[in-house]
Amino acid sequence: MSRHDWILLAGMMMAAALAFTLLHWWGTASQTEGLVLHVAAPAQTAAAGTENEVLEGLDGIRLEETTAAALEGMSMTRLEAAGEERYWQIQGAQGTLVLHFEPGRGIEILKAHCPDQVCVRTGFIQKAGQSIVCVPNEVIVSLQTPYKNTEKEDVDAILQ
Amino acid sequence: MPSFNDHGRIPARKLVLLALMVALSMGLHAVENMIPFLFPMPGIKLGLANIITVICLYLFQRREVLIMVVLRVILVGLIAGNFLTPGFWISGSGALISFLSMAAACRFPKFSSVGVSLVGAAAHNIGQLMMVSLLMGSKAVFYYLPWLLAWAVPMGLLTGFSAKAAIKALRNTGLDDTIEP
Ligand SMILES: [Zn+2]
Repeated sequence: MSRHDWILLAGMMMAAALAFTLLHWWGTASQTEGLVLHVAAPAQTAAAGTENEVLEGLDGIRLEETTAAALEGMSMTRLEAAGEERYWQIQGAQGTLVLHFEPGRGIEILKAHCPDQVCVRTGFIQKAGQSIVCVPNEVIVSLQTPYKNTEKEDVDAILQ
Repeated sequence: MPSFNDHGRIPARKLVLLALMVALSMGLHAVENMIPFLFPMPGIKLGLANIITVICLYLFQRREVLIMVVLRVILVGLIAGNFLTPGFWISGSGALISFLSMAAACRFPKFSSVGVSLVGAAAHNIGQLMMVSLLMGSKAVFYYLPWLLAWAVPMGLLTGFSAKAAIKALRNTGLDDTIEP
């Protein structure tokens, strides 16, 4: 390795460390309050028929069949306040996905019809900015800080 | 044109080597598709095929390497059966962006093949992440950027030292005398 390789190596490690630090600041634990769900869905969903394999072993669970659009903007605070587990079934580009909310742990993709299972292995997300991605299904589930909503609420509060 | 002989054709030996390199990179690309994901993160592919890209950047002309990279991506997409699906575009953009940045890094002789590989590994991961974000219309995936940058360091070192050893071995065989005009 040349001297310039070492400088480059150090630069890359510093860039990664800086990115980690910024991310930590941005998504601190205190920001779990007031988060909303952001669900990006594919333009075209798979034809029905992949549910059976995905729903295996989920007997006795109350599964809500829904769409990404319906889940978009759902308040995590409200879900936590309700204090009950929820299971949603949505369609991705390749097949069915099952989203799971557990109070105190956050959101996870419990099961998915996809070859790599990266989304399932990501596990629970709870903090601002965290996301679960299923590339084959073109689905992203993430937690966002609802800046616009809080601003609006502030304005409402002032007006009243 | 220096890479062509008097008759405007690519010399047979060079053509064979180019084809061999495409086949090798396809093999590596296919192998990494089979390896289970080390991290549950989108866009994290090892980028093993970058080893061949680095070797070729030192042996062939940039234009030829570009053709090889494009060929590899398309052929692996066809063989793996994900041609024109999101997975294809993601790995394709990673391969292309890493080629472009490595070709640029190669022009600075102060970087050895290890430095070039480090640049390539970082670009490979960033390129894939950008394509994921573009395809899915969501910036949420950039949450993974720090992990991908950190992961590029060991990956770049691995491809860099592999490529360095391979280039040295190839030079010792004298094969590259027939490659370079
Ligand atoms: Zn998945």
